[in-house]
Amino acid sequence: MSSMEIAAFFSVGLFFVLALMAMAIYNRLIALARRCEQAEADIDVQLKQRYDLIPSLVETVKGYAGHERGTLEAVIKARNAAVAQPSAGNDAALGGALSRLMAIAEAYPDLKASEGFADLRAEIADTENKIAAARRYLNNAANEYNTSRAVFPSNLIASLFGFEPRGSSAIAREERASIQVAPAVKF
Amino acid sequence: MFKAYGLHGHIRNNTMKSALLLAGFVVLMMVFWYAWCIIYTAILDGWLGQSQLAAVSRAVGGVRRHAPAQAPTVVGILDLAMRRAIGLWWLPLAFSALWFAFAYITHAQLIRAAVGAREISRRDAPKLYNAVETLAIGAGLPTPRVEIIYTDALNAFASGLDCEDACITVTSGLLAALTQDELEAVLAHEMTHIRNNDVQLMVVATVFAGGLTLVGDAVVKMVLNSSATPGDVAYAVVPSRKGDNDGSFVAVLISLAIAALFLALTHIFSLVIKFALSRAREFLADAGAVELTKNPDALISALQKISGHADIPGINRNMQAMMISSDVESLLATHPPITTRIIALQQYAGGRIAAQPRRAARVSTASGAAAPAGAMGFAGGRATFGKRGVVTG
Repeated sequence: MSSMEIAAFFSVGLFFVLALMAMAIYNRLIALARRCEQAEADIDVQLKQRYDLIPSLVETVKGYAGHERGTLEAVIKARNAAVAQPSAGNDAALGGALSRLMAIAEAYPDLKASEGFADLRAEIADTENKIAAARRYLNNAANEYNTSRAVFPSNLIASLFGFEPRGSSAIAREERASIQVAPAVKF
Repeated sequence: MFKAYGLHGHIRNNTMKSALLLAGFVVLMMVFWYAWCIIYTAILDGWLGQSQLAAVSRAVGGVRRHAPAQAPTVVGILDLAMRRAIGLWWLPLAFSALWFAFAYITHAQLIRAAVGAREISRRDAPKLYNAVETLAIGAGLPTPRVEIIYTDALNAFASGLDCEDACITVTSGLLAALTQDELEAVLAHEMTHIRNNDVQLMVVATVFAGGLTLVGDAVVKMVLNSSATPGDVAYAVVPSRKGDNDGSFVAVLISLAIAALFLALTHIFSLVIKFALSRAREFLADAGAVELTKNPDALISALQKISGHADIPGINRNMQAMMISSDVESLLATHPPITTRIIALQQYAGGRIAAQPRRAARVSTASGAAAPAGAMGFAGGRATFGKRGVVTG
């Protein structure tokens, strides 16, 4: 074998090794991105579950405290806004309206004692837990994706194929901003 | 067997160990088949003195000089047995395939039957089910099936072949004794077992590969208990004939002893299974549980409540043979001691609750019933705890 041939041999080998590495990195990035999408879809499922529960909750409350019209309508309005345009702001507004509704319920012993209301309340609390869990998972997934995307040598592949950084849930970031504002407590 | 470096290494190890155990099972079946052929040949041809063996003995060079023409020799018996075994070489393979297919289809039912669990729906135990569902979402896994064992014992375990088809089983005693936080910690521990693919290895070890080592264990136990040598066993199996030629009789005995030795290999295989279940997985699962719930204290107090109360009485007696009862017990415990786990939680996960000395530390080293659930379970008792100790799921 001439030195030319040896050089050709090794460069072909090197090329294959590099190509395999690139493939592995690309596939890993795709898999991680899929996981983020999956996590986002999971959040949507739970959010929808929560939106679906709210009308029945309002109906139940209406049966016992129909004259609290303002609060009830505020909840429905916030819910519809959140359904129409899911965003952190709308979500926070819905949370606020819901907690006001729950506060009102305290004043109606019959309502509090009713089984339907207790069930709905537990179910809403449960969906909220699940939303939180889904967001935690999204944050982890996005974190892993972003890290994998940023480190060498996967950053080369990422920029070559246009892997964009993913928000570890934009909602979470906006929420953090809203959490930093101390809640207004009025007496 | 392998050292795990990091979580992904651990998961890869689990998959590799599962594959090795399955391959080991197939090899074992082949050894088993050869041992059976030796026994068959020794008794039928050696003892009853049929002509085939004599022909082989003659054919094997040099042997003939030491033995009379018609008398069987060890080499002759082994040789003929090997020919028979190779003649039907596909038999152990076919049997392994059938057994794997059977185990694949029925593993969930087998485990459920062995521990006496019942599957529940959201309606039966909404709190439990919702907690599992929430944790599954947090771990990014599909929601596993949930099963309950109705007993006062405190235990839990996860099973399944992959995270798509997994199952978490808890005892009703656990539901009664733990607070919601503690229950979530335990469930998160099991969820981590599912995510880490520990469940696959566990099912492969106990059902796929473990199922038939029971036979080997039973044989070995029998021999050990009667303090008889394999030769004695062979002597019992093959009664001496009146006026028999000593040489041929000894040859039969030695052949049977070799067969018994091969059968004892199954016992060794079950030891290998025990070693394959690294104790590190429990620490990893504890760490994963804390990662999911962010609450090390709940896990610590759950462990403290469970420790010493994990025995599930009346669990399938067949499965208990999975655990070997010998003095190497402590070496082979499938779980690290609870106090060690608690200390790890305090040192590395920010747990604050102090580790208490175990009240029931010296309870029953007697008849270990809950062995399989223990092997899969949430917490292990102390290593020195004997068969029962393995349980604290």
